[in-house]
Formats: sequence, C-alpha cells, structure tokens
Amino acid sequence: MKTESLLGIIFIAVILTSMLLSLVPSTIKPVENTVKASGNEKISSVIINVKTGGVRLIVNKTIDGWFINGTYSGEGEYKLSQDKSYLIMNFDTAIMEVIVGKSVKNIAVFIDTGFLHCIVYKDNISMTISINNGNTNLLCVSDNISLSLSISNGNLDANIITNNITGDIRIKNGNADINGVLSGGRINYKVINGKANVVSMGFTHKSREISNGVEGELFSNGASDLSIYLEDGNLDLLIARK
Amino acid sequence: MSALNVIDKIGLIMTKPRSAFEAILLDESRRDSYLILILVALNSSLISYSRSSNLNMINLLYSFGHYLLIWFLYIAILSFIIKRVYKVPGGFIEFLELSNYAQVAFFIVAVTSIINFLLAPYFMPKFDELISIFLLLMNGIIWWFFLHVLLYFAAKAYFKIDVAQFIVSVLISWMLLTAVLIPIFFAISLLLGVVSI
Repeated sequence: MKTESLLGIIFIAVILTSMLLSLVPSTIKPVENTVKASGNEKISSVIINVKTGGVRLIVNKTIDGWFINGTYSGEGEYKLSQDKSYLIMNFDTAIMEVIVGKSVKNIAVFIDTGFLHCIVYKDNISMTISINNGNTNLLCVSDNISLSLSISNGNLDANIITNNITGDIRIKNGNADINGVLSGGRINYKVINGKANVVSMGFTHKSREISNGVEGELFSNGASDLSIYLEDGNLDLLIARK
Repeated sequence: MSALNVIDKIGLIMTKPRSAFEAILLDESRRDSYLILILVALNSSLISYSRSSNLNMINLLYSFGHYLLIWFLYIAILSFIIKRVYKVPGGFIEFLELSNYAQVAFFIVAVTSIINFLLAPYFMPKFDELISIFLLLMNGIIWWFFLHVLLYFAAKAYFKIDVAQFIVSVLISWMLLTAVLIPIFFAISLLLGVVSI
C-alpha cells in the first residue's frame, strides 16, 4: 500500500473515531459518583471544602447525627476525625446536601466556584463561610451566632433572626441583601463594588459610602453587647475601662 | 469520485502539500472535497458540544451551519480580495473546491480530541483550568497555522500568488470577515433566542 493511501486511511479513521468518541457520553464527560452517607456521631465541627459545585447545608436544632447526599466528580472524600468530633469533606466538583445535628458548634465552608444554601436552626454556633465565585443564601434562626462571611464575585442573601450575633460580612464584586431581626450583638459589613440592602429590626444601623462600595454596622444599644455562652470549660474574663 | 481517490488525495496533502494542490488542480473532479469539508464540519460540531450536556440536533445543526458559513464566507472573501487586489483570474467555486482540501489540517484537532477524550477522565482533574485553556489555545493556534499553510498552497496553485501576497489577502479577509460575521451571528443568535437584548 502506498504511503499516501495509508495516511489517507489514517486521516479518515482518526476523524471517524473522534466523531464516535464525541457521541459516547461516558468517555467525554467526567465520571460522576454518588455519595450517600449518614451517622449517629455527635460531631462538633463540620468543614466543607468544595472547589466547584454547590452545597446545601442544614444545621438541625433537635436531632443528632449527620447525613450527606450528593454527586461528585474528580477527587473527593468525606471523613470523620479519629475522635468522631469532626466531619471533614473535600471535593473537587460536587453538588452536596449536608445535614448535621444539634451537637455541631462550628461550621466552616469553603467553596471556590459555586453556591451555598445554608439554613441554621441550632443555637450557639460559629460559622466561617468563604466563597470565591458564587452566591450565598443564608437563613439563621438561632441565638448566639458568631459569623464570619466572605464572598468574592457573588451575592449574599442573608436572613437572620437571632438574639445575639457577632458578625463580620465582606463582599467583593457583589451585592448584599441582609434582613435581620436582632436583639443583641454587632454585625460589621463591607461591600466593595456592589450595593448593600440592609433591613433590620431591633438594631441601630449605620452605613457610609466608601470610594468603591459601602460599609456599615448593625449594633444593639442595650446591655447585651457582651454575650458569652460557655458550654463547658472555664473562662477568665477581664474588662478594663479608662 | 472514488473513495480511494479521496484517500490518496488526503494522503498526498499530508505528505507533499506543495505539489499535492498542483496535482489536485489538474484533476477534473474535485467534488470529493465537499466530503472532507462535511466530515470536518460535523466533527468540529460534535467536539464543540461533546463536553456540554446540550448535545441535541438543533445545537448540532447550528454549530455545523456555523462552521460551513464561516468557511464559505472566508473563502469567498479571500478569493474576492486576491482577484481584486492582484488582478488575477479565477472563480470562487473552483477555488472553494480546492481550498476544501486544506481542511485536512483538522487532523491535528481530531487527534488532540481523541487524546483528550481518552485521557481527560484520568488527568484533567489534576490539570489547572488555566493549563487546560492554554493547551486548547495552543492546539487552536497550531491548527490555524497548519490550515493556512495548506490554504496558501491552494492559493499558490490556483492564483499563482506568493507568500507575502497571501498573507496580505488573509489579513484583509479576516478584517472583512469579522465585520460581516459579527452582525450575522448576532442576528442568528437573536433569532434563535441564544442572546437577548
């Protein structure tokens, strides 16, 4: 067979193979895995780390245990720490629903590109949320919240009903809608390259325009500015005033 | 038009591109070049949509039509520019039939896509997104360069022009093509509801 004929046949074969492969879904799409797991362990902390995707997180007030349901592709795993107090989830690409029980005291969610829907019913909780590209919907119906929330390139829709909160919210390249029914504590927020729509009851709201956005503060006037919740352990507290 | 004839022509373009177009020009039947064009356009459409979940008949036809439309317009404008600027005789259809063989350059894209399809599930998660875009861009540049080398041999055989004349014609053609294509594609996309004002 001539070289020309051989190369011609190779060309046709390559084109047809490429076409066929394009039509076979399993070879062209990343393999999607399903994860479904649950446990009765009384975990105290949840750490969720997702590169791309979305997380729906619910923190229950009355029941114990944990539950994960979703799909992922690429590398990913969830695990409990040795003492069964931490639930750690690391996924490349995932859509997950995570439900945790009343034993949880700390939540940390890190999402590179994606969304977070977070509903918190449980009291006495500390939340750290960081989203690089994506939106966050947050509903908190709980008391004694410590919130640190940071979003780059995305919007925040937060509805908070609480007796006491300490919050720091930072949004870059996005808008913030904050609705709060609050009675004690303080929330600082800063929105760069975006707008802030803040509606609150029970708090004093001060905001000011800065060169590229808006920053503000929600704070209570009453004695409940200082609120300490201690479940166990000791606390040494010194307050000095000039 | 025999299948063996087409295969021989493709092989000849891949081994001796310079003399291949001269030989093809002497051949009376060049209709088989449309077969190569259709194969390549179809492959290009399938590759474009293979990674998305939107692979359906309408999207496939839309992408297929895009490819053919760009190609026909590009060759029409290129042939018009060469004829007007350098005052050389020639017909659009004849040049189109000859130029269609330059689509053999798509071989590079097809090979890359096969490698990508077979290896992506194992290696892509480890690739940075930026590296993937860079590789895609490099692949596109190599394909574009190879396509234009073959197109130059076709133009050289048909219009008897040199490299400098071809480069000038290509530059003018791309400028005109951009001016013509953007409003056309915008109108089509608007019509199909892909974009909205």
